[in-house]
Amino acid sequence: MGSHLQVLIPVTLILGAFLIPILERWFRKLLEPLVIGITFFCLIYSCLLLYGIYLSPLKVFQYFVGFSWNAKTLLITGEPIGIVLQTDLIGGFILVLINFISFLAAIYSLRYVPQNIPDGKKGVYYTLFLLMTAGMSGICLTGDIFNLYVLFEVANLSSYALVSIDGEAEAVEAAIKYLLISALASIFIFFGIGLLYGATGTLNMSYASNQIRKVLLSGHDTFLFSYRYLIFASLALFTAGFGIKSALVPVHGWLPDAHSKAPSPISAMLSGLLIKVTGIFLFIRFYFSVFRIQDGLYGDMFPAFILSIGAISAISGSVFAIAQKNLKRMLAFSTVSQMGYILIGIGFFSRDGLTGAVLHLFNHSVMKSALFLSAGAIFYKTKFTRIDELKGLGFKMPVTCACFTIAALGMVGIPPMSGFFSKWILGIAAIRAGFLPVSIIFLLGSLLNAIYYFRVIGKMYFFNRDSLSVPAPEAGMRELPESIYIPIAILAFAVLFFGLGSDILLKIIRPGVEYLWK
Amino acid sequence: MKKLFIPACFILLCFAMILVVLRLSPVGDPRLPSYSGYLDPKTPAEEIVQKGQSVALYYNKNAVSDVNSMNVVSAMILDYRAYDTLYEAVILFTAMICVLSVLLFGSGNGSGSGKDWVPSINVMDITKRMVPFILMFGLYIIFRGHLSAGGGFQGGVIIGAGFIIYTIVFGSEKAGRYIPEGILTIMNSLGMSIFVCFGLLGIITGYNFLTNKIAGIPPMGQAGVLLSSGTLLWINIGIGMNVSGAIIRIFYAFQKNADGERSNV
Repeated sequence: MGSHLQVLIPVTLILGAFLIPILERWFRKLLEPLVIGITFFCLIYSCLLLYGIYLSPLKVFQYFVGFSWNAKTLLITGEPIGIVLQTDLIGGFILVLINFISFLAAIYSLRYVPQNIPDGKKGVYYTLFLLMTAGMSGICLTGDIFNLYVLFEVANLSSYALVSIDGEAEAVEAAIKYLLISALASIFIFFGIGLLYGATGTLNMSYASNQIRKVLLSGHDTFLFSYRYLIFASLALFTAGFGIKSALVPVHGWLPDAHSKAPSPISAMLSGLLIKVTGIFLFIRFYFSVFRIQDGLYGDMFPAFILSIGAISAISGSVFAIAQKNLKRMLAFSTVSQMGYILIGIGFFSRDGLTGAVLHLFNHSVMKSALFLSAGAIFYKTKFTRIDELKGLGFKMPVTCACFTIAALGMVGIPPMSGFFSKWILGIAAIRAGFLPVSIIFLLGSLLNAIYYFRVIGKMYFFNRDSLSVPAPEAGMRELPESIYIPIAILAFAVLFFGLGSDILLKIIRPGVEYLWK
Repeated sequence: MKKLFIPACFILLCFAMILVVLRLSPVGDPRLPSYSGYLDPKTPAEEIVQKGQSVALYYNKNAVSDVNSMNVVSAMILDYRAYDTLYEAVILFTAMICVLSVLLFGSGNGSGSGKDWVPSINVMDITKRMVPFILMFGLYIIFRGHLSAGGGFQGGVIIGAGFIIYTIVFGSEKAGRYIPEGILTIMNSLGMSIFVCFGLLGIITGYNFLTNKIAGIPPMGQAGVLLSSGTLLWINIGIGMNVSGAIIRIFYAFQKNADGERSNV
């Protein structure tokens, strides 16, 4: 079963991107409505697609691009001739997340971009914005390894330019650093794909996983045996590449600069979506769909390695965040630590662990986007970037600061917010998988989160009135334009809503996780 | 100690990778998994073509009859795996937008004449005579992409090179009269849109995205004539427009930036 939506979502986004340079030159007024319209339609499309996959009996949609040649779509072995888009529930779920956040970021950009980005770059900004969304959406939809790599490059390449789009020296420096390290990750992944193709002879994910299984189960005396070294090497290369892309601690150096120097809607997209889709989601895709580590053919050392990397990231990211004085830089380091949590969830290679990881991925994406957009709103209004400048801001910008507080409490893991439930599921998974020390890391990490987030909240609301750095608000003055605070308010509401209603998400994630074990 | 750490890691990594690559089957071996699937290596080479089951063998056997294209490579990248090629062209488009974003609005944004030297009369004369032929050759490569070696990417680059030579010799003012920025913008966007629209035609005719022969997309001539192989021809034209436009725009951006820096000094 398949749906044309699987191909129409990225194609609509790239068609929009092709139209924008023309609109910018001759019909400037149509530019923003087009972007908002396209992202909104893609949000609707992706919801429909997820609903379709949820109702389908196999919980997966297969779409054959190019359909058939001489009435053949598969070889006798079952290997598809062309490219297959294979979307399971987890892919569809993350697709909805991507289009949801990018729709809100597009609304937010309406007023943020004219103020903070040089005038002639508006078209470039929206083109790259749509291309990045298209690349990420395509990654979630595809079932072909090389197609995935090409889309990965589309998403990455546009993000490099988006980081440096305001043309300031610091942003350009951050973008170059990001580009060089990220290019290293791309090389690793490309080489890994080459080795995997050399060992399995196919680029289709589900067929490659069959071939890998054959190789791993083969005996010493068969000719298939030596291919396993290629498979192990490609697994190592993928781990290194996706590890760099998801900024795990030994290789996290590029993230704080890139995510804090970018314009705020882009920071929200990078921190909320890009590192998850090109990092964590591809970890899930390759570990669970291609290599099938959950079947236990790779030994016990590999999960332990993944868990230790995740634990180091979770703790040291938080420790770095405590030392930061710049608000957006602190949020960026907090992302590093949360990536560690999600990786720990993957590292259990159990159903509970993966459920918790995907749920935490969603929650962290919503919360971190809310935080970055709030930081951007504070910058938009007051030009403040440092944490100690925020004194008493809670009374000057009540809506923004309330949303920031809700999202920050979610990051710490205070019960009614959504962050609590995903951390709870991860903790339970740790105990069930027999890794009790890991659940202590969750507790410690939450405490460290509390230290740096409560510091900001404390600055906002509890202060000495005599040393107030901002004047009291004037009566009747508008806090912010609607297009800036409505996305933040929606995200903050989502933090509360998916906290109390996390069952809704689990109803989608649990069958999706179950599908990966089949 | 710290100085030695990174080179040591690098050497270790290289050593490990060489060990791994030695495990790969030699290039051109018919027993490669990508060519014959997991056939027993004792199979004689003549039997592999009959027994082997892989996409590569299928393409080699059936490309001409499936796609009506004489060029198997074109059939692979523009029909069987056209969805990849779409995003490869998108990467080129993205790269162009990135270059424009970095260069055109950077510090050195001047409007110099683009020419601070006068080439000799020989260079001007030969360029004037050569450029039409270069452009013609580029078009030939694009339009015969499904018949012989070449295609949209290669032909587009040749056309771009023709305009670049003209711009270097005669200056950007004179070249800009023939091909202004607005036309380049349209070329890029229209070229990519052609690709996508012929993909969507497959959906409109009731098949899937980028369906070619069974959807009956014109031209449907015999394999080997110019008007054949359906979407391949249109996709080549679209990619050619996009690539040539992108190459010229990137060159203009570099040149404007350099002029700006020169005039700033």
